[in-house]
Amino acid sequence: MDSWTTMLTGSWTMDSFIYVTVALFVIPIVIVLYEEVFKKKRGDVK
Amino acid sequence: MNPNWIIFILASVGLIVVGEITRRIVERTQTSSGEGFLLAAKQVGAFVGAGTLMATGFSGWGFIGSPGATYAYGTIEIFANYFYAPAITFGVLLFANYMRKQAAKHGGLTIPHYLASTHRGTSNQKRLVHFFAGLATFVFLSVYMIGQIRAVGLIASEWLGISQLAGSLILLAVVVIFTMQGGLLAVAVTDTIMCMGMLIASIVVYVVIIRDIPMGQLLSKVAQMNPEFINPSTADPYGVGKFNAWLVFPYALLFTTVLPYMSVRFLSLKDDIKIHVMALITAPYGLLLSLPPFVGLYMYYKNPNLPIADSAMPLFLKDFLHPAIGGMIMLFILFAMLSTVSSVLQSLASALSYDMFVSIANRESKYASLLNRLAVLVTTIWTLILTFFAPQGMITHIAYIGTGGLISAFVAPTIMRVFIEADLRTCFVSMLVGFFGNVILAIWSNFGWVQIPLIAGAAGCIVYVIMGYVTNGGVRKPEQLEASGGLS
Repeated sequence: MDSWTTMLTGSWTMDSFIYVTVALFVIPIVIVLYEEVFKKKRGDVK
Repeated sequence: MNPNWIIFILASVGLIVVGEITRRIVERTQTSSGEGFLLAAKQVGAFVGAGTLMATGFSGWGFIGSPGATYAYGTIEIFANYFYAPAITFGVLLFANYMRKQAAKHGGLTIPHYLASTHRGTSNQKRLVHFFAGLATFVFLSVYMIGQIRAVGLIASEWLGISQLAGSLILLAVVVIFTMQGGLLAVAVTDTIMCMGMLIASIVVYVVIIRDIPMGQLLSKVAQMNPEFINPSTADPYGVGKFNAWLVFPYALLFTTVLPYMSVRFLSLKDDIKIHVMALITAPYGLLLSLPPFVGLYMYYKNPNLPIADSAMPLFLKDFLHPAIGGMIMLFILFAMLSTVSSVLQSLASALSYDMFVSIANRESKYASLLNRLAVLVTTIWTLILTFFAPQGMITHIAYIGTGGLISAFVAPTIMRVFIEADLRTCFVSMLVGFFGNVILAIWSNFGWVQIPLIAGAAGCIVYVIMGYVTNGGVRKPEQLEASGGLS
């Protein structure tokens, strides 16, 4: 458990699997929120 | 009668009925001679778009090859294979809308046509780029099909108890029927149905594993048996440095956005589609479809002495699942292969009937609809001949440079065009640099199959950006110069 790449499972491959999963879901959700809430509020999206 | 035959016949009838329904939709909504068949009449929405991309992107490799590689190399394969999920999702987010809008503005019924139409130049330059891109697609995807057909034949022969040739013939016949019926729309809808099967298969195999042993415990047990499997010191078989596993992400991103049988889906999306909603569907699909490689780890824990690593999944299905459920999972694994086969076949056929025909004849055929359908049949016979009767030594050499060559040739005009609106000469030169760069590296360098297309593609991109900027008169987009009075 000596670094952030092995602190969750003890395996850098499996820790990286978890980080990629977070990015896989967080990035599209952030973009959806930006498109649907922020831009709509500003009236940019018709 | 083998119960698998009943499952197979029912599934085949279902797929052909879907093909017939899509044929009627295409005929009803057809707006131009080729758009209905080649571009699914632009009727692909977020749900079907996500289903067809994921089913095509995750081929039989994810269910047979990847668990086998995990059995042989450990969690590095689970991690590397997983990159196809974010690659497809981010490919959709970053490029789908751009390519859809460019195709709507400039025209583009296939990827070679899209490349020729979105770059400016003379009619002859357009035809040259269209023909070259169509020919490259036809040659290299033909070779790519050989591996797919062999895999289908192998699984089908074991599943149905027939020869590999008979297995390939029967399954390809089903694919040919529905592809000839409805073109890309039939392929996309049947892909989506197959994707549902693949998702069920992925969930079932993962649940079977964690019901026997929790994932954390499985990882620690395998770590005791072989620490390198869980915390590897290299990225072997992807290369020595650990970063090599991460290179699968840019490779898979290019695979999604550049390879014609994947990216043509972006051109077929509905005008009012919400791309980010589509990406929100592909994300969980990608996570679930990345679970089957864990079977390789589980089988290593159960029996680390299997003689053939690729038998990890077939033996898992035989030993740990009820025969009826195992039979269904095998059908879904065949679905994973068939969804890729149907997509590649559709791209191959359109390269022949549309790209090469139109670029040589300089016009569309009066019988385009018939020609497109006949090309599906001709292409299938052609790939079957290559698979079972052509000299395999030569084909192995072509296959080695095939998909990578196509990616490195098409990457610059597809992706760099976002930044520089170059002309057709630049497009053509960058394609040649990318393609021959790939050939040279494949033959004379020690780089791996992931690095070669990335390096050759980068060379093509550099040429595209520099030559495009110079031929544009020192601006990124020619209209900037036009606006300032620099271009007449």
